[in-house]
Amino acid sequence: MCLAKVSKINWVLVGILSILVYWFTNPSLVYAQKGQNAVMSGTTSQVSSYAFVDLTPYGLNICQSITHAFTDYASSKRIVIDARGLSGTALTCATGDANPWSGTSLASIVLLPAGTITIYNTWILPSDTRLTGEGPTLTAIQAGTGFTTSTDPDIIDMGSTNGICGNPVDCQAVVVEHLALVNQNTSATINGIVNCCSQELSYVDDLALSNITGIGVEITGGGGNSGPYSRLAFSGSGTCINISGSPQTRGVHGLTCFSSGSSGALIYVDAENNSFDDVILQGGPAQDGIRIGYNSVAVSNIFRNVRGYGLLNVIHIPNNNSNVGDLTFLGTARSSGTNTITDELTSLASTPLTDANVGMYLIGQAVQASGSGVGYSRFTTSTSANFPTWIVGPNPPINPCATGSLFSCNSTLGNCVSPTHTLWGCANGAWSLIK
Amino acid sequence: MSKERRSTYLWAFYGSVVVLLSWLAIAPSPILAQAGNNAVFGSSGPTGSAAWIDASVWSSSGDLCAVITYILSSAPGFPTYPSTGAVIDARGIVLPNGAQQTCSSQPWAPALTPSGGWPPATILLPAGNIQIKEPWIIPNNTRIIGQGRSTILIADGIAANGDMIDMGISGCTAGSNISIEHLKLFANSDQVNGIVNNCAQDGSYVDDVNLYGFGLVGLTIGAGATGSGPYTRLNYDNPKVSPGTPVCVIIKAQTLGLHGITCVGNLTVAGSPGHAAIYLDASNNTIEDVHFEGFWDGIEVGDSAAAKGNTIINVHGASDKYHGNITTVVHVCGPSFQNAIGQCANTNEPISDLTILQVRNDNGGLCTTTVQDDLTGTTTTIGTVAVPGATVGKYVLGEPVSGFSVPPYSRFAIDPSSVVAAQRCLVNGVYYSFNSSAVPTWGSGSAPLSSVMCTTPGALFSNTAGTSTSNSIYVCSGGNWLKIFP
Repeated sequence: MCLAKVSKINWVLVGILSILVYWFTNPSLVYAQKGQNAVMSGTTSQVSSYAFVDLTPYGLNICQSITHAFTDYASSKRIVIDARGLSGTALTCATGDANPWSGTSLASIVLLPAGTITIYNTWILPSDTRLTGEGPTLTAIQAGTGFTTSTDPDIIDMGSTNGICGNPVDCQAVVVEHLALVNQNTSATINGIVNCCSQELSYVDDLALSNITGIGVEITGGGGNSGPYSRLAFSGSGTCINISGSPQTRGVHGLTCFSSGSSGALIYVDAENNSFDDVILQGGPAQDGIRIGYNSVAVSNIFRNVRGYGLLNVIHIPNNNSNVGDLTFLGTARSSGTNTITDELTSLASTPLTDANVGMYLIGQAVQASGSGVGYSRFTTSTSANFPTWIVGPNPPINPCATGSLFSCNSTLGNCVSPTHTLWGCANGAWSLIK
Repeated sequence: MSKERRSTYLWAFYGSVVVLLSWLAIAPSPILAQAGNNAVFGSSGPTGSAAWIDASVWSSSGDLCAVITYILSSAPGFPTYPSTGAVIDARGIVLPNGAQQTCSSQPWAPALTPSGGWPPATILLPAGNIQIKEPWIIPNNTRIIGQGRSTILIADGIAANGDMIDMGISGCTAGSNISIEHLKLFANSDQVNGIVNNCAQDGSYVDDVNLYGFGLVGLTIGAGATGSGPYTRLNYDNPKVSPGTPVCVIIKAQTLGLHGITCVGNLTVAGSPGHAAIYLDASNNTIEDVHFEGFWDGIEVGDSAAAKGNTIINVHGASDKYHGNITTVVHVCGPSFQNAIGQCANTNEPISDLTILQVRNDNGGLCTTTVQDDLTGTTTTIGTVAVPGATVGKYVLGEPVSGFSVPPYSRFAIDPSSVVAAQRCLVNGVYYSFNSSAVPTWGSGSAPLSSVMCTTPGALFSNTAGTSTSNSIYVCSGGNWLKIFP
């Protein structure tokens, strides 16, 4: 064998052995696709898994990385994108970065990292999208200074009328949870989340809204049957929640709202059949906490456990019987501020309820007398003047009283039965025996 | 260099390489990594983390259920599964669009049950169509989590009247900790039930689940499932043309409540009296934030068992041309039913202490009603064509008063529902007369009512501007408002 031939064989062998060495030490790189997770396939070997796609290898900002991941895996049915490995400057999108979901119809779950993610254009979420942060104190999506408000002033849109939700418009299963939305551009009117078009299985949970100058959460007519909207915390000069256009939702459950505004209401309810519970409202002395039915029909709503601080009215109901009726308030409280419930429908605006706590306040519908409305069915546990109630006690009542109230003396002994003094009514501020 | 010397160098080189390869091949890993474990960097390169077990290592497209079974049972070739449980991540099992993952048997096949029973597990299912040929019977301490509506369990040949998912092996009790979240069940023309919980109790719940195309019951909460729930964010839906007799939910135990559900039936159950979306046949439950289409009744209370101390909040009945109307949004079962809107299967179950708040009937049909109370023979506001959206703000039914042959009930309703003229309603080919009832309530205003007519006998009215006993409180009696004081 000549020396040259031996040398060639040697180099071939060295090459093969080098490949083998490389394979032993870096097996996952042979098969992995960009961003896929590595899992152990043996004691030392790894393979890739499509369980999720980590954006770290993309080396781009978060908006661009999400867009590229959608492109790379466009043939998939869905994708779980894990952006939790991104940090620092990668969390700031470029001013020209468009909505990352604009070119995809993939079902997606996007896990956002802790940190402040700065965006300049609205994130419009299509059907079957779940946006999940690390918690509202850790993950924030910030509308940066220069955020494009001319085309869409919302930080997040749940669906859109731009065609992504089909015809009729009906996106489903759009979820936003465990994050904060922050407005850095306080000189502009910017909204938090607007749900115009997402219905069944679409909801918001564990969300903070900060420095919002527009509406924190807006649900319009196309958002019917969405919700619940739960565990929300709002701060800013704008409106906490606005439900308009007649969507019935799965309710707002758990809301803290701190308004730095000076007029208007913290919550507008201009829709039917919605439930609110566990709500804390703090605002200015000229503001309403919840304003119901001022702009459109808002019958058959229920509010439970609502507490207000510093407001003119915790609850404000207009004198408009075509817009309001069948309202239930359970557990309304005023820790500070002026009025607890101002009900212009069933009583005069000049006679609001100012009780620190109102256990129950129910409004029904118009009461007829000779075919004309003369008042409204109403029941309250308040014993304030101008609000008749039904009182039960073991002894005859003592003046004064709210005209129109009833008193049942329920003892089987003493003054209730000897002589029989069972039912009393209040006329002109004084109790009179009925039976 | 001499030929011998070159040869010596070559052999030395080959020897070194062989030694290196041998070391790489046989040297123990610093930490004994297990197949399927997540790869994380240790001090000497990637190693396994038991944070989760990725099922795609064994099957990128095979039988998903079989792989889960093998992992849970530590089958030969699979790592030893921790007795305290683990997260099994099957999201990496990817199917081409339109392809289906077939599960020939359920992941917890009885014949393969480990000697100590099935261990705890949190199972992350992939998006895609997963055909199941037999019910999944989920053992205690198991959580099933999908990727939303993209994770679809499709019934494929399950025996008629069988279930797609059973929460709990027969006999399970407290501390079950079984949950189902973020997925879709599709009956796929099989006459099957969706989720059945006959025994799983504390810590067992269902959240964010879409039940689609069921001709039978979507969710059954059996009498043994006391303390389970909550059952939240559910959507029971049917295609435009759907067979069978859909039932959205049956509740036979006290639970942590049903919060947020849409129930859409079909023309069959919308057009025949007695068919309800939700049968509430248990005590002490809360049902709230509900939307109905395409059932005769929305909720039937006490259809086949006692139902005491329940609360129903924010319920909306609507119509849909493909699925039909809701005739009665909330129907309290009892003996004093109206033929025009039908009766429950049983009319003598003990029912009391029922609170109903914010119910809306948006059908706009004259032969529909919002709340029908067959215990007291009360029909609340009926639908009107001109003004759809009849509502009932509050209807609270207390308890029967003894001493009467037909016992009255303590009751408070907020709406002064006056009698609407009788309507003719066609039910099963027969016309019946139908009118709403007078529902006494208490109103207030600031005007005297002497000698004016009223339509709700027994109603009270307080004049907050009253100046004497003659003009402060009135009762509706004999068709007129009369002062209540002697």
